[in-house]
Amino acid sequence: MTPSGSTVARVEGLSYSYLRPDGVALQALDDVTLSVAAGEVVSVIGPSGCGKTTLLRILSGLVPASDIVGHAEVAGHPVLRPPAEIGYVFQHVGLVPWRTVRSNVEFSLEMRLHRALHDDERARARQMIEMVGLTGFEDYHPHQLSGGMQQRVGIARALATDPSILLMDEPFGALDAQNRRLFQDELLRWQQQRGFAAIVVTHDLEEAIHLGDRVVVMSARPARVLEILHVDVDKRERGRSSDATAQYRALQDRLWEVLLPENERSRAALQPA
Amino acid sequence: MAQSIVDTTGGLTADALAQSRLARLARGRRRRRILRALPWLSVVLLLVLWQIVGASVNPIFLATPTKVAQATVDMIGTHELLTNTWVTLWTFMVGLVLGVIVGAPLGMVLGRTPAAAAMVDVQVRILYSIPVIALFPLFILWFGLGVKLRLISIFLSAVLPIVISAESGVRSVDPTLIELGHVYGARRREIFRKIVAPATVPFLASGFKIAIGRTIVTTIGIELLTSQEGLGGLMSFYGNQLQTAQYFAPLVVAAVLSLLMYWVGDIVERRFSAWRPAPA
Repeated sequence: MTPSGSTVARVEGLSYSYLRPDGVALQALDDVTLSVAAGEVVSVIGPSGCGKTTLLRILSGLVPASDIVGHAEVAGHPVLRPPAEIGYVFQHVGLVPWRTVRSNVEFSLEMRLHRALHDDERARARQMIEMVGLTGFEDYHPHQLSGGMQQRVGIARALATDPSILLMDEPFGALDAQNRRLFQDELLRWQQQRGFAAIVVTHDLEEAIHLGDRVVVMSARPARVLEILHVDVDKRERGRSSDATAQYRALQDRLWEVLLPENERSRAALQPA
Repeated sequence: MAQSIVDTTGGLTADALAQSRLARLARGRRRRRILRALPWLSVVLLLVLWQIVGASVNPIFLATPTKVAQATVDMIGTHELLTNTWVTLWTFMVGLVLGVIVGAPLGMVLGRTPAAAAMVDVQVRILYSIPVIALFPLFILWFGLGVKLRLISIFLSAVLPIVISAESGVRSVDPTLIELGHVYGARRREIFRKIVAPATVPFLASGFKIAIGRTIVTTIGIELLTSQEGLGGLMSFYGNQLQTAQYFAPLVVAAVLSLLMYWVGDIVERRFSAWRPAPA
């Protein structure tokens, strides 16, 4: 699928530093430039702790605009407050434990609208629950669900507001390998159904290639964009044809080549002086 | 019997196996029933023992259960037992409820404003760690003898655990949930009402249970020391008169009331301690 023209999210010359609680200043991002087209899936990969999550936090307005250097915009507007066009999928899901599945999915809409939901909005939440395959579990509480089901609720909640871009922070990190693969394929299906764009932060090479139209490789902290790879395999074919498999292998080798020195650098930085 | 298959049934038929399992279940049920009856049995045993010992010692030292029952009936007849039970109960309730009404919002505000918390946390902890009883002499000087003194003491016993639990509840809200609110554009008020407040409820429930325990002690204690009124007042009056049976009657009422209150505290804590409904 070729991404259509319009850009849903863009950062340009983006740098961000913060103070750790112990007073040490750390630079998380260094001059990052990246844009995501409508309906495009961009995987972001890099050594752990490199600042990938920070990128999502900036785009979602969780970082005060005054703290960043450079430019960040969503749907053509600079990010000054949380943009209405994004949906966020948290690494640790972040379901509200006292709310049922239904009520968790409705939560994002309730917050957006600042009021109780109307029937059509409830219907929309119900539709999302159906899409992620949790019909029948509407009245369950999060603790009664498996990790995979919980993340399904997290995705339904993010999609309930009909975002034009989904920001996903290691969404499948807690799942076992088999479930993860099934879930990835489902995500691609939902993405094609609804046409949202997505940024998927991950540390899993295979996942990055499998999900992304492009894979952005970031360096160890401070994170810079090292390389952007294009994945020219039709999403419906991914992981199926032998041709696709061959290309996967090639891309994976290339990713390793770029990432290996970064991982070593990042590990070296963790060593006590 | 089949040669190569290990026989674990001890040669019993399926029917006999089912029989023995049924018998085991029945035994288990009987044992549980006995366990449930044991507490009542022990109370009865205690009363019997008390009756026997009480009858053989000087009645000033110990009144027998029958004498206590007689005194209870007499004191109900003169209205003094019910009137004073009511006095104890309403001061207890008013102090406890005020403690919750003041303590819960105060604790939540402290949890959300680190500067304010830094100002008063030490004082709150100090007040919480000394028994309120130790402050009675000072309070008597400040508030005189009367209902005002008792209400303030009871209130203080209730409010501190509530403040502390509300504060720590607000502090331990999952930060991801706060971010979740921000991401979807929630206003400060909404984050408080839809995330922080509900997340604090289980902590408040535990604080409430602790508050009940401390408040009971203070209520009876302050009446014993300063009042002619209330169950504590009665105990102190009849105790000083060496009318031991009449002293025991309000003590028994106080014990029953305390049990009831602890039970209420338990129920509240269990009901709100988890966000999940009780298993069906």
